[in-house]
Amino acid sequence: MNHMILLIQSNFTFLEPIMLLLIVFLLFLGFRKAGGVFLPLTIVFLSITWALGLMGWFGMSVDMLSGIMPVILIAMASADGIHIMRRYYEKRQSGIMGTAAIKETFFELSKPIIITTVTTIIGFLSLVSSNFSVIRQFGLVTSLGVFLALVVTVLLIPAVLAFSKSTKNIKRESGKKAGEFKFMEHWAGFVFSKKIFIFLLMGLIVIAAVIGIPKIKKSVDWTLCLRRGSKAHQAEILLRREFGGTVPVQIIVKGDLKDAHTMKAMRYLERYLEAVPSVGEIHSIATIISEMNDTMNDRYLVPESNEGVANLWFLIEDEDVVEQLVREDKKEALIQAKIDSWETDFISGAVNQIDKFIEKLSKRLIVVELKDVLPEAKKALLRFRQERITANLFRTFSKRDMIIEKEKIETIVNDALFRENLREEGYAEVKQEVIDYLLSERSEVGNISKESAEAIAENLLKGVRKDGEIGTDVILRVVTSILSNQPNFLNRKESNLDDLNELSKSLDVIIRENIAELRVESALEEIKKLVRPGSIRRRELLRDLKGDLWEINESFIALDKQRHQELLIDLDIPKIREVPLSFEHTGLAAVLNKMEEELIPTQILSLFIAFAAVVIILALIFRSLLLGLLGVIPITMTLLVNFSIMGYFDIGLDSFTAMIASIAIGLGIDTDVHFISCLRREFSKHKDEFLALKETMKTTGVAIIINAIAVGVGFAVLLLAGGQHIRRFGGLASLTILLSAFFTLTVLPAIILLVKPKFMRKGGNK
Amino acid sequence: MKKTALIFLILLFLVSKNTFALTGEELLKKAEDAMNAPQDREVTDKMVLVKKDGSQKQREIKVYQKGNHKRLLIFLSPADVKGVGFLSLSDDEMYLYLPAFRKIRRIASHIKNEDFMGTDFSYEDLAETEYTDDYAATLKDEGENAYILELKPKENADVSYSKQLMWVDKETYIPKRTEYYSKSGMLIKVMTAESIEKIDGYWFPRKMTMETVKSGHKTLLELVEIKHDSGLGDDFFSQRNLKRQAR
Repeated sequence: MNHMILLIQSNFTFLEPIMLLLIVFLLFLGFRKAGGVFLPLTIVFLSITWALGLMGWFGMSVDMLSGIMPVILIAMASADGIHIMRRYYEKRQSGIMGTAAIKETFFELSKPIIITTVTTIIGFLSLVSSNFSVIRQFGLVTSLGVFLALVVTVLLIPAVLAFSKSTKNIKRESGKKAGEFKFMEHWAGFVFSKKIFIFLLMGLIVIAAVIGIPKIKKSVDWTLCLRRGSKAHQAEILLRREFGGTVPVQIIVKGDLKDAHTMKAMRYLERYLEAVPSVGEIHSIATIISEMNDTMNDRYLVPESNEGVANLWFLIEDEDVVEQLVREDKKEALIQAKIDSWETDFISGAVNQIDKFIEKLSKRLIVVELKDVLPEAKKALLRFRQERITANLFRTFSKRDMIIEKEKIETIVNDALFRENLREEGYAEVKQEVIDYLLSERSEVGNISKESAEAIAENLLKGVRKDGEIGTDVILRVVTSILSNQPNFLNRKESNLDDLNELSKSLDVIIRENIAELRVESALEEIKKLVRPGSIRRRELLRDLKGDLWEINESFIALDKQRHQELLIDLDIPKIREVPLSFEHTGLAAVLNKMEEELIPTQILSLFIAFAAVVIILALIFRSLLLGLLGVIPITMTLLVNFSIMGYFDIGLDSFTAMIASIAIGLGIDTDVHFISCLRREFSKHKDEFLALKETMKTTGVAIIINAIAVGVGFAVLLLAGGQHIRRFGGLASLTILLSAFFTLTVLPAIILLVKPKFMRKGGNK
Repeated sequence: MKKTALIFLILLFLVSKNTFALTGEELLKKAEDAMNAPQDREVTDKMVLVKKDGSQKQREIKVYQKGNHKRLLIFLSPADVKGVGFLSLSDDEMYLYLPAFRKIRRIASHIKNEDFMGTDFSYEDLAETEYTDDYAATLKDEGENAYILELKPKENADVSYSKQLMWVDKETYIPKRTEYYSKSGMLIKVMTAESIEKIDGYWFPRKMTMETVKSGHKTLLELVEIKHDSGLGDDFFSQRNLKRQAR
């Protein structure tokens, strides 16, 4: 993620100067005065510097969102300055001299400026209710910046203006300036005469929005933050293609990792993970141990005994891979996997699936032994085992997009589990293995004659055929009796009792393993029949299938507590041991998912809080609930258009685009307050609706337009940015600002004229 | 007369230099002989694995050695791996025994250069003591106490190092320090031997350390018990006996 943040920041550091230059240019066009450019920008510059400095003092870091803060301050902080300068020049042009002009300007504007700032601060503070520290910090930092801008505005600007000794009258320029006023007068006339039409247009926009907004996708592909064709983007695509994705999934396992059944439980979860679409590259100590077991014993699964696990683990002790996956005390391990997508839809689908599965996993396993249990209990246990193996086999296939009927797998597993006898050639193979071992140099007892070896094997296999299995005691008896008949044998040095004992144990293992191997082999043959001939050719698939099937031979079963109670409480099977363990899903995928899941409710909540606050504040300012409600209409319209554009143009809602709402509210309320208070003042002056509207348009209206164009075009610079996220953000923000001004200058007066709040009635406002 | 005397002296000097200085090859042979001097050897070692952060793990091992090639190594502790064993008959015939499975596996030659059970020794390091078979040595330098030999693999030698630098002790001919270089020429491991003492008439280091340079991981071997020339037969170094010793 780091490279993305860097890229985002470098975008801003590169584009912010361009934005500023453009704003300077547009401000100059609007004012034709150095002061009109210089003072608003001073506010911007100082407040950004102070806010960033304070961030540093409080140890906050610039992240993806707070990196946008300067951009927003450029928009917000310059607005007040523009209004002040506009009004100040207005006063000067109308013949009022220096200090008096400043006083009048501030007398008229300080109320709306303080109000707009307070509302903006409240708008951004509403983000503090978010669950994300990133968004919380963004809200805090930005409202701090806006507050600082206010301080600069009310303290510095009058001081600087007072210093400028110019007392000469600023002449009203003819030509262009007059044209500007003409335009605003026409505009006022248009709004005044076409208020019904504007009202209807508003209705149409609302309908369009109602259709468009539900189309918004809540999806973020994080690679969109990277410029197409950029190195990072290419690397990302390459990583996805070559290495099965780059969104890491991490599951923390807590328990006794020296216990074979903890590892087996890990494998069971991993088998599930593998089968989740687009999840791959699973890696853990359990997979390593399984691989080691495959090398040592030719079966890919965690060995059944703790000693087996310990032996295999010993071979790789202290290696770097192991250290990354297991804590030193062997009480905590990591399962790593990757999701082959950066689409949040996909990620959250996978994450939810995984979470649900983990939730169902037991926190305590009870290990029981199959041996010496009543037939009824054995049946229940084997049925449980059958379910497990079937599920694993099914996953082995579905991981490779091979869909095979579960029932068929079930039948095969069932047969393998409950079948007692081997085919005749099978017994012959086991017998040959026993003979080979007895004659090999690995045999604990040397100098066994061929005849003795054959006799031993013959006898042992007879027992196996009769009882299914034979213990070491029986083997020892057979071996001793046959070898004692071999001429001169028991006198030999090697043939002490210890050796014979050990030999019996080895033979026991050889017989059991060979029988196990045969059972698995015949089940595997059946499984192969389920798929197209030749489709199981890959070694890895065969390895997995064999590993899955090998469990039919194991003598211990780990049950979860509930199953243990269901199956065995009446059957009274002795518990070998309990294995407590827990799984916890972490990693970037889980975090991204949580973020996206919480993003929408957070945004909606903060939007409502902000709206409510805006209505209340406007109502308090204008001492009229009606005006408060009317005041939010342009903002609402702006948001509706903004969101329906996102819906229609397939722009997903993400952390960036969700910010637009805050900007729309922040900016919208400013223009509203300026507009309404100016209109009210003008009306109480002239007592005429049309005249008041015309005057408002000529003063505040022009300031609103200058501000909107300067800042809106400024934001449009972000369209040149590398990342698609930033481009979308810039485009939408720019559009929002322009729309907000447009609606304030059309919809708001139209509605006010239609509804006629108290102040618009004759003799209304005090 | 004076002139002849001078020439004679010079000649004498040259001759003596040629006569008494040992070549790299000879020194390596001497080192090898010093290390493999006894008929057979039975060593019990305390093995400590030390991580970079200082954390330690202890094991106890028993090593039997006969001649240049035959080795049998058994882990005595910790308990859950007691009996894990290793048998080396030549540098490409090595076996591993895991008691939990009662199984002996031959070690594939391609993993010879991998670490042996969490130690810093590779399988190859454990099997190899007959350097002159695989390496050609040149005397690089001569310090106060040691000859510094440079060992380069002979043609077709199946070894995993590109070079070894060996500090051979002048008194005992036991290598005091060996540096191992990878195929790409990087220093990967350093072995040091300390407290070289004469035991039963043979020189032997009481302490040995192998350190992996990159990870900072170390394996210490401390001598606990040693026995020489107890007459181990060739059949002692057999798969059968590997299992028996592991009990």
